[in-house]
Amino acid sequence: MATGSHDDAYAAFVVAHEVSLRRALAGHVPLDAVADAVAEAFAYAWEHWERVAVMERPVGYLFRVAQSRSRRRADGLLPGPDPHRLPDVEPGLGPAVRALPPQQRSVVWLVVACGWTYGETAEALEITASSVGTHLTRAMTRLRSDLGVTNDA
Amino acid sequence: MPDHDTDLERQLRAWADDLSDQVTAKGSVVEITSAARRRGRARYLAVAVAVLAIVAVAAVLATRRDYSVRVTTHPDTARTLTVEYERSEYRQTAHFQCTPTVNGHFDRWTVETWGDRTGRRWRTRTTYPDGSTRDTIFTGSPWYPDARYLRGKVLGAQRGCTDGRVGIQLFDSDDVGSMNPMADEPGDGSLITGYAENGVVVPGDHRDSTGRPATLYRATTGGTSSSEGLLPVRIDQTSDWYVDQHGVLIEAVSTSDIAGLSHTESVQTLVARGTREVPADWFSTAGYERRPGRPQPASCADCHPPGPATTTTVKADRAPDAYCDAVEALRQSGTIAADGSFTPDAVPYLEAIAKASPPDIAPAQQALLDAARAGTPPPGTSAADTTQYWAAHCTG
Repeated sequence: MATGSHDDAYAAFVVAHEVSLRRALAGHVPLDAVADAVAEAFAYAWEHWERVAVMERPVGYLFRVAQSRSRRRADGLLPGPDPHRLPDVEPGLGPAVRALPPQQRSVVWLVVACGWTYGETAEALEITASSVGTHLTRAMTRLRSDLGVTNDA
Repeated sequence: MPDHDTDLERQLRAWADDLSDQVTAKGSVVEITSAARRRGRARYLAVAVAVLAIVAVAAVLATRRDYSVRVTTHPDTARTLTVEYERSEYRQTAHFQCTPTVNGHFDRWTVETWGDRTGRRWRTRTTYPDGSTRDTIFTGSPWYPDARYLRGKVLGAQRGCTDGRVGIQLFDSDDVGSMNPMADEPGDGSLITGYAENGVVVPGDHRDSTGRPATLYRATTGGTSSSEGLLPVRIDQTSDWYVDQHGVLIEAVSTSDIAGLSHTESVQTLVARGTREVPADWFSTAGYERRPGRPQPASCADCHPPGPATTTTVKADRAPDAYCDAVEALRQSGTIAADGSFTPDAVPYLEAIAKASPPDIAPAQQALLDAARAGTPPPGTSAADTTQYWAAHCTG
């Protein structure tokens, strides 16, 4: 368990990773469960601070912690882009991403939507970095196909 | 549908950003940290001391209340506004031969601007690679707003040398960031200028970085830096503007080379433009930090032009004496009409100027001469460029 001397480091840790973790989880657990999932992850980090503090990719690890401690329900998972809030986002993007196989969907969300590195994503999904690349290539190919994306600028 | 992968990726980021915004926990990061600690402590104690389990559970439950989800209430979707919209991608690179310094985090970001001409409101949202955003809302004028409203952190990197000789970050996240005007310019003679006023057309076929055909306008400045207390060094700066067939600025590239010190480049690329339907409260400033407006200057001497900021002071090379002498002769000739156009008697003076012109403005000077000979109005770009060159290189 962390001691008081770790307070500053822990606070800095939360500042550094909270937004990233919240974004990642917003694509993986129902929206009304994200805040609790984030809290669970940081509570875990507090309890196991000695170990978490020295992790190379803590956010990927905490992502797994948060998922494992979250209520697993399918309803409300990954709601599509709201056309009123995001008028310039293709409405078909939501269904297209949801239609991806789970692993591909996770990789697209973490790498592209959240800007995670292959290493962080691999840690989060417990796969190799090369597998991340493979899933990403396949997923983006399928999304381009489903959405009719061309490279003609 | 998305045009290409970059746009597809941007849309995914925007979607994630929006979802993330909807689950913002109540309270500050400090409160989040404290809550997590409480939750962690409570769980630890529950395991270590069974008798305190109930207390621990209570603490956990209490913490859960701290994290009650805030789902942003959707506005009245029946009421929408049609506004002008522009989205661009910004990126910057910097190579320094000095002790570098950096503030901020990112060297690329997305800039979106919504313009409500009728309501005189403008909103720019900068989205960084980690999904965080900086929002700016101006009211009254995009250049001289009555008030400015800001939300979010500026995370764009400002890179430079520790001695302050050079820096880069051309887009200021606290300004309205559209590449093309979304409002009528104030017409006060101030320094609100664009490619047409500052650049000259570079002949030939050109394409921007995404391969779109464009007319290239270019402005170059050469000289020596005049940073106080430091030896002057050679500096060359180039601004390129790629303009499509409709006169829309689609890419702006700025490079700066300082001899033996740095090479920096910034690129802002337009990726979407048009009108959009937005909720009626799209320009609501609730939750924003209010800042004072920016008064319109009474005279051009006080002008504070918005847009790209330069971080290096440049003193221009003085043009050849023959050129400046010819310019002075023209000024004294009385052949310039009150509206700035040239009378037919100006042709000999313009010929002398063209003959003595430095190579970098010779095309503009020739265009001016041709117009005077033909008795047609001078091409705006050439005239403006020439005038600015005169001011920069033959005075002071």
